Amino acid sequence: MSDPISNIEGDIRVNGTLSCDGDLIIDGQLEGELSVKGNLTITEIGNVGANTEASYLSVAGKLKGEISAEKGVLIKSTASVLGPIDTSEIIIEDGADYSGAINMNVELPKNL
Amino acid sequence: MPQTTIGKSLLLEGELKGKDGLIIAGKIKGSVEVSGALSVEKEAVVKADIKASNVKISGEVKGDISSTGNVHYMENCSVTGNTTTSRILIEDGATIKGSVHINI
Amino acid sequence: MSKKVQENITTFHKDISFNGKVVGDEKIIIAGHIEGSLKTSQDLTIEKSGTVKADIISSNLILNGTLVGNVNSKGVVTITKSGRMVGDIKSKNIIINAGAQYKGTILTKANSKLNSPQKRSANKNSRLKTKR
Repeated sequence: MSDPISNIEGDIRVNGTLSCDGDLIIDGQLEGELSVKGNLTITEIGNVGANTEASYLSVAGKLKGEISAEKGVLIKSTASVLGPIDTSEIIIEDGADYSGAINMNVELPKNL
Repeated sequence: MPQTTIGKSLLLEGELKGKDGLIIAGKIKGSVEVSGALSVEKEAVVKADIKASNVKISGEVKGDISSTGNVHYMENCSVTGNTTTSRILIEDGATIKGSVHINI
Repeated sequence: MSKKVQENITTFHKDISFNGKVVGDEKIIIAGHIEGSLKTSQDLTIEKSGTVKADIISSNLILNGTLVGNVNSKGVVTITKSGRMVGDIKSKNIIINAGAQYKGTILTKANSKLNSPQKRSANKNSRLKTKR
């Protein structure tokens, strides 16, 4: 059986960490701490204020917090993201809003 | 890509060097050393010693010129400095203040 | 052989290197190596072979090559697939393509869409459900 996909709609306030072993889709509002072992998707109407840890993160809505995504991050054109990101690869689409520090490995040539 | 072109509005202060040719239409202060041909355009002002293969000067140069090829002083160019080369061609109206050594 | 100078574009060929200050009012394309500082009121493109160690002030910036330095752009900064950058970016907007590598702090003017989520206690209509 494949990992279950969880879905948040409406407003959730979490005191403590919301953790999820599989994938998670957020369609509503969430505040708290987020730890997702699988892929985390914040849809266009999603609004998250949380330090967030996920395997892969895709944001089309709002996200504010410290972000860590081992496999990669996709900030879509409708997204608005604020906070540092620690990851291995990132895509920021045209029209997306992002401000923060991005930490990723950069291979530099010998002459720099 | 065409050879390196320093456009009219540009001001460079520093060392420019390389293996290719060079067209200068802007201003350079410092040094220029290329293994290819160099053209100093009419509007250019070069305050630098120049090393190149062939050199064509239509603008202003204040510095010494060292050419492994030939140096062509165009009409109305202005050169203040010493030239060392193996062949020269001077157009009518060129101004040269300095010595020209032609090596054979 | 005489060449017509393209008055509006400055290009640095890949076999050329410059160490020092560059200031201009035209488009600049860099395929070679530049160290120092770069300032233009127009667009700047660093080609795949370009290696730049300099702070840059420009209009739009396209990075296909490697940049170590801070960018202050009036327009959009785009880091493409082959782009590699370490440094901070201040610009109107930023686009990072798949395959790009970037490390630094980004500050865009447009971060006004973001509002804090409203603080509300969980209500009956909230659902946290698990699909299997």
